Amino acid sequence: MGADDKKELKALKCAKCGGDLVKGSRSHYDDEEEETVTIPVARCIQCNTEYDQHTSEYYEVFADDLTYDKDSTVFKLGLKGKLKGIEYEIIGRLRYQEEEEYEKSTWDEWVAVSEDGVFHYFVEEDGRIDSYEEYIPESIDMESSGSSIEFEGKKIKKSEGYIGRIVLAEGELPWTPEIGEATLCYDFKKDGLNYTIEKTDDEVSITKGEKLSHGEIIDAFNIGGYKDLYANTLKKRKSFRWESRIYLAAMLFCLILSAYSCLGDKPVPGVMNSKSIFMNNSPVNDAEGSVYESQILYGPFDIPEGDKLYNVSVQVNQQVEPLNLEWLSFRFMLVGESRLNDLSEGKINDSALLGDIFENIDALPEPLESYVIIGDFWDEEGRDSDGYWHESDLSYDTDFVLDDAGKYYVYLELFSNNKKDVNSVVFAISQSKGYRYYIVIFFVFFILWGVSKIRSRSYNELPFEMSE
Amino acid sequence: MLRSIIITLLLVSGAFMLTSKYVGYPGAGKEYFKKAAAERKSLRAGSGYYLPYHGGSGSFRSGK
Repeated sequence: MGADDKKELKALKCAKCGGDLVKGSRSHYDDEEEETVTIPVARCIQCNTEYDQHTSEYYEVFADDLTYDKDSTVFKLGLKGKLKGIEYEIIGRLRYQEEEEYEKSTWDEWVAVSEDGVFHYFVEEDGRIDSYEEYIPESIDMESSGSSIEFEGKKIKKSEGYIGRIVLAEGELPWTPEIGEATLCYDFKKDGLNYTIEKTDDEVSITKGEKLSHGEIIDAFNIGGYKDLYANTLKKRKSFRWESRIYLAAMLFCLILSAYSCLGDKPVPGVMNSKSIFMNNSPVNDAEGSVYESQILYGPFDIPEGDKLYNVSVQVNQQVEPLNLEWLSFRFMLVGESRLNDLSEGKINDSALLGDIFENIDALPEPLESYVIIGDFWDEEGRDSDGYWHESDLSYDTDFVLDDAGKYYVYLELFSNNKKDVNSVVFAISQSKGYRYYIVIFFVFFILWGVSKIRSRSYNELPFEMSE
Repeated sequence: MLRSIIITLLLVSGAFMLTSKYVGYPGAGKEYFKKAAAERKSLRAGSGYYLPYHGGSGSFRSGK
């Protein structure tokens, strides 16, 4: 079919009134998508008749949209070559569009004739090439049951069939195809080989094939211009594959480092072994109402190493007293024994004096504490548009680097809207390793892995798609 | 491939160095004293610097 034939086909008019057909669209409610969808249709400008993708007219009108990349292919008409000892010449080409797809979903069938006059088909789809030859099965029953085809003992479900519509035909083909012509296709595998049954109104044809690499085609048809590009493409893809493996290994290494750091915490022992209670649920009044305040001094305990990272975890011990629809704020202060000793002028065991010191801790000109943590716990319920909710926050933890080892106290202040058992708030201090940067680079490696993985499949110097 | 090895080594060694030097973590002790003392000096007399309680920060649903 030549260029003149195509022009003649494009001039096809509306079957009802003879008016010109143009590209249009139609909106309708789709039950599966559960929304209104807009689909392309061919429309007559005179009588407004619509032609959807189940009509030949549709493919006449939309052929340009489905063939714009027809030259991005390894094959060309008239190519001659020798594949597996047999000489072939490419004599024609058909492009099909899958009928059920509104977007472009095409494949090309390149028709070749061998030196002994047998037709051969090279199917090019999504960067993959399959070589097919005609096949006569030992047995086939297209109507073995209402729902399946029997092919040499194998059942092929009819529901797996799909319809291809011709959108481009060129070259010297053994028959005269028409744009929009429909073919019902069944693709399946048997004994490691690919088979296709193609059924038209007139005939059933069966082909058997196998996958070929672009390299085999380039060598067979001696397409010299592509040899270097093909070799470079393969080399770069292999390089990207190795890169993706290295980044994957680095991700695993980061995970192992993070797990090792996370599990390697060393608790500081005895941090809550001794305590002095300076204030226990004393009411405090201010402009916003009345709250209860408690002050407890824990320690001393020994922090064995300086210039290390420590983690403090403060939480509500629900077994001692649950937090139920109420709030509790805390202030946690880490206080070095030596500073407390200096301030109390050596009377560090005088509980009343220490109580006074901590009562006025905020008024001291220099901070007594080595570190402070302030946080809140709460338990709430309510109703919103999703209905009833009940949420709580009962723990808090943070990291800091402590420079000096030695003996320390923890001064804990609690404020609550209800009286609370001072033992209901517990804390732990542990020496930690830190792993945040391993997590950060884990995600960096993840991105690099993804990019190199995509590049290992998509890098291409060739002017056509290649999936291998 | 060499590029990916170099990137991996740089990133891992960088993360190891930042982790072992505890970069990015707040300091307790001298660093805290210095910072807290400076904050106290900058406060006007009687303004206070610490709110003794927050009343629970609460769930975002409660609008607190």
